[in-house]
Amino acid sequence: MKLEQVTIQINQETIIHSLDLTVLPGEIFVLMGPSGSGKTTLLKGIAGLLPLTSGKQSWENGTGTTGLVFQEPRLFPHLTVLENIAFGLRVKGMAAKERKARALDFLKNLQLDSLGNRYPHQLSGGQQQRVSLGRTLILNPDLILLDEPFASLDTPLRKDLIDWLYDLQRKLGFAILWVTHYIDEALAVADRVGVILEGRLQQIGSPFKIFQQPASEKIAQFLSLPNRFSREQWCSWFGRELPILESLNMGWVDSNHLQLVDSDSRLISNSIGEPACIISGVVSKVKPSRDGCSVTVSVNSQLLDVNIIGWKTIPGLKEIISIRIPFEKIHWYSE
Amino acid sequence: MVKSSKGFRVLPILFIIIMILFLTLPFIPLVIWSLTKQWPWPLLLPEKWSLDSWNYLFSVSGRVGEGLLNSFLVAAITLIGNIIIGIPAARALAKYEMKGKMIVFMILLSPLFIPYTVSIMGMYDIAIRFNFLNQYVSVAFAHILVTLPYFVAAIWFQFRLIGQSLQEAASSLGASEWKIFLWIECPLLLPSFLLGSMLVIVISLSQYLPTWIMSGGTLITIPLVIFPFASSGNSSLVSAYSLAFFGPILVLLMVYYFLLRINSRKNRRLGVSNREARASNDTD
Amino acid sequence: MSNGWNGVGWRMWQNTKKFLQLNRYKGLLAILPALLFMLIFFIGGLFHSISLSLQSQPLIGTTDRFWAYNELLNPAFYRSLGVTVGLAAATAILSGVMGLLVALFLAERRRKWKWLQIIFQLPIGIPHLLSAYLLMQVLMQSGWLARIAFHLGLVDSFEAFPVLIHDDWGIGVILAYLWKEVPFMVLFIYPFIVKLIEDWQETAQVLGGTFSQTVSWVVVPILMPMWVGGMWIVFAFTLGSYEIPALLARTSFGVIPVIAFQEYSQFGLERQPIAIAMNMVLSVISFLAGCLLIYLQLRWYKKGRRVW
Repeated sequence: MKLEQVTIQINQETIIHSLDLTVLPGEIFVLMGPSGSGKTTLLKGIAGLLPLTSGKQSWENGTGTTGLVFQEPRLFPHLTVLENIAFGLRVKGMAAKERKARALDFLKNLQLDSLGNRYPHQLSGGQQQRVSLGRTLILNPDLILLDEPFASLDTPLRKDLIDWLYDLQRKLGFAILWVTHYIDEALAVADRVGVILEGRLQQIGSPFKIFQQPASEKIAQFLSLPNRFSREQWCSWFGRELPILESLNMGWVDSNHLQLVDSDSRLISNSIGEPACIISGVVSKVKPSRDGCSVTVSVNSQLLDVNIIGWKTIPGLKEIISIRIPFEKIHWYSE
Repeated sequence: MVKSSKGFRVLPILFIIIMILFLTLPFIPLVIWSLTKQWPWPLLLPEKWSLDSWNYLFSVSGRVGEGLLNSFLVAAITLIGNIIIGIPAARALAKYEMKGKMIVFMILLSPLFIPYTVSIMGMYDIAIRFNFLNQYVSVAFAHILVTLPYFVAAIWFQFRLIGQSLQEAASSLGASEWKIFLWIECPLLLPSFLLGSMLVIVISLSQYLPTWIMSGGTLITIPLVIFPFASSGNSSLVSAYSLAFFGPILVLLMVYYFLLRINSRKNRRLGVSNREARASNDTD
Repeated sequence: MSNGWNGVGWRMWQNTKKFLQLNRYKGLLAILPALLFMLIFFIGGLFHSISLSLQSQPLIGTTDRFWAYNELLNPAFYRSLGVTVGLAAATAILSGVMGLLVALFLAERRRKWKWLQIIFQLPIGIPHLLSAYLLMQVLMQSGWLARIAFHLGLVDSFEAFPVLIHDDWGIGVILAYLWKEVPFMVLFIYPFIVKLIEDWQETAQVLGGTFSQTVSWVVVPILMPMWVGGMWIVFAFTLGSYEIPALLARTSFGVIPVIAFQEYSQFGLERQPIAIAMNMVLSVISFLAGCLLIYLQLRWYKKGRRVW
């Protein structure tokens, strides 16, 4: 499905500005953006719930169908699970017996085998959302639109459902336009990622590309890339001019690649020849994590995050400490 | 973007037109009759027009002013009574869980489904005993009985819609129950309060039997003025009085809709949570 | 917000047992006035009426308390009962169906045609006796409709116009009731319909549903309890209503409230118990109908369906 120069206005206010987007058959395209960026509006426009103020929506094979899954399950309370799932089939005019058989069959995909005759209020949140997805999937739309489908569920359930849906997609091969603001969710499933800010599509690419080369500081900020500093700052820490393109004036480095060193600089010996710099600062925060801890160091009023593996050498607060920053691990991008 | 089948479009519109005609047609002869004393068959419009009925209406013996005044006075007292006992009851029913809630509901809503004639006889007895009360108040009593179910039902429903979340939030911030009621619940209650009030007033204004019984026929409200004429068959006068009666009601209806629009416009501006407003303001 | 020592004192008070006990009855206290009011006057009136109907009448020579009810066990009364209940049922069903159609129509166009809603609310402001009078003017053989028909050449004289008032089928009566009750039904269910449409239209749309499919498969089923409830109110009201049949139907037609009033006014105090007994029978019927509807509703919900 392709969107060309699509603009969507609501009540004289432009929500989506001249957006171009292509979703390839069978791919999972994740759309990420902060609240208010227009994600839901865009989905509704693609689904046909909202009119496109201008621009064109076209399909590879002439026409295509979409299915939209909302954040809340929105199951019809007066119908059973089977009847809910079969609703779209009923719209199409399928006979009751056949509908029921198909829906019953589809329950297997949803792992809801024995719950066909239950009513929505008798199901858990995760089960309800699965029914909601099944209701849309059974219609075999060309493009599935997901609007933060698992946002209202708790974390372990989210992970399970994300894995389940991913496997299902790989098995059945439908294309998904998946909107979320959870980065881990996006990375777990995306073939391609698009970042949308303030109604405009800022960048499209594979997850790796987006992370390594964010198109702007705003995107980097949205992605919460750690340790982002201007080129001038990096240069001053490294003490010299850095061989980077002029246009790339921001750099970020992952917290796992920073190392804490003591004043004896003992670690330097391990990586001779690798250009790096050492800066010293004061520990301002220590947060425990699964692997060890995450230390925030304040260097001349700039904050750097360092991840430490293992719990043996955990620095204390207000301790003066040094950080080793390897030059190679810094990702550069332009503002 | 709603897909609609073009084929059957005509039928609903035809139906609605017939309904509209059905509802509005009777008003036309009403107006015409008020302006003439003779309107024999088969004339579509009377030959001789006269304002006699209207003159009589506005004359002293027409008692229109008295009728209107009493009607509205009683309606006002009825409304106040409804508010005083109705709102706490509706609020409590929506908020608290209690045993026997069903029974309470059934009792409060009983006038809706127990034919009124049954209680009338009993009320007559009580009316005699309540002679010491001010006439207006005792008539209002009877009116409250008839109108309370509607009022309580409307307010209760709105309370259920509002839910408890806002009040709980305010309470956790230290607001007292009374303040919560004034500042949070009342504004949110406004639409159904207006609806309930309008129902109460309109119903009260149109009561004949209760007023007649409780006042022994002495308190002249508009229905009491009209009905003797109705049975005497003086179409002209009846029509004139009916229009005089209907006028204030029409004004009331307009005021109601006007207030409702102000309220919803204000809500829209303030961004009060409302599904429609949310759907149209959704920018995510 | 109270501050300082007062705040502390308030919190301490809140924790005392007494306060908790009082609080539990806060709900009860709030509904008490309304409840008592309704109980004493309305229900009281009801019971008083019942007791009146159960009086023995030594003057006539019977000491049977149920003599009034026994008097009713005759074919004429049964026939009247049938007529009254039939009338009420027909009114309820017709106004229910028509009201639903109108409300759906209004709901579909609610953004554009607001003035239409006002038109449909007009009859509510007119008391029933007046509406009876109005409809009589319109429907009688020398009435407004007949004159229009005459001018259109459809009838030659006023006898040729179909009999709608005082007729054998009670058509005039039903029409007069519909004039008032259809707006009532619309008023009653319209807010629910609007809310249901707003809640579910998007969901049905993304599944491919048209507006009419959304209405018939989602809105109406969920609306059912309210709709039936509204129809029951109309039924009960029509059952006990006096003014319209008094004006628009022959006395021989047999509408019970009219007959009851006749018994009461024409034959004096001795027949009063009979009048009350007749009305009591109507109340019982209305009550039973309600119980039946509630039973049906419970069965519908038994399978676990929950809607609100």
